[in-house]
Amino acid sequence: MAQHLLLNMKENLKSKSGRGQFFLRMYQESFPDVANFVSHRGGSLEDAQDIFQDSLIIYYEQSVAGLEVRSDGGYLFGIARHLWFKRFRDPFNSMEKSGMEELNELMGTEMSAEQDSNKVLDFLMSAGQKCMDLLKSFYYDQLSMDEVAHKFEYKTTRSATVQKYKCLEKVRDQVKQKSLSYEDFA
Amino acid sequence: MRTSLEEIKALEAYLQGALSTGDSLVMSAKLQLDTVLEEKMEQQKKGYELVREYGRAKLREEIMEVRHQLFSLPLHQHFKQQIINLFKR
Repeated sequence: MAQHLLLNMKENLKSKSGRGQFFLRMYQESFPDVANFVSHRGGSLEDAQDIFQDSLIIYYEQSVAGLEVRSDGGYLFGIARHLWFKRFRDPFNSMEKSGMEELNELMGTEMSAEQDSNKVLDFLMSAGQKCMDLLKSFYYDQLSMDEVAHKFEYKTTRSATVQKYKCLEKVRDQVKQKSLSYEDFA
Repeated sequence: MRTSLEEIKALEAYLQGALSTGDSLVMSAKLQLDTVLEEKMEQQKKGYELVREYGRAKLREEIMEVRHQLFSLPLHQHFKQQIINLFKR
């Protein structure tokens, strides 16, 4: 696809409303194909929803990380199909395995099980909502510090950068205070 | 920036592999000698992982909002029915 369209898509993903529009378009364009695929293989609507949601997360993370991703539905369908085969066809892959574990494997990262996400969120909220949103913008959504400064209305990029480290310190202190380990969330 | 923040910045650069070879070696030596600093680094790494979990949880909420729209608003009734029909036996 044309480079400028790809850049537009990446720009759109930087705002919540832009992401909402993108997810809506992807649902409309690709979810029927994914649902049809899952249905024909004996899966439920819930299976299709779960797989599609995880596919969108993978797509988003790949996109903001600067990996080459196409913005058409076929690419997303490919991720969903891959997840389906991993989840239901791989004999070495336990049927009990949660979607989050698969996502971790695919993305090479660690993640809590979904049912524990509220516990994680509650914990993180103790570092402050604004701090978490700022850290998320930089580390997860991969906005530049200029963009972070603008979004959170800091006068200079430097003051936003200092705030970023203060927020990181808060999270780190929370980890220390509660002697957190992965076992607490697993 | 105060010293503790400079330390966080330095640890971040070290973890990202953004330090020069010399600085990275110095940091590795410091970490070996200073167990408190090493603990701080481990806590910082956990902090990054938690921020990613927070990011994913928030993204999941956004996707759920879109899904809710598609499967509850009359505007998207046709889409919803199309999907439900796929799962009728």
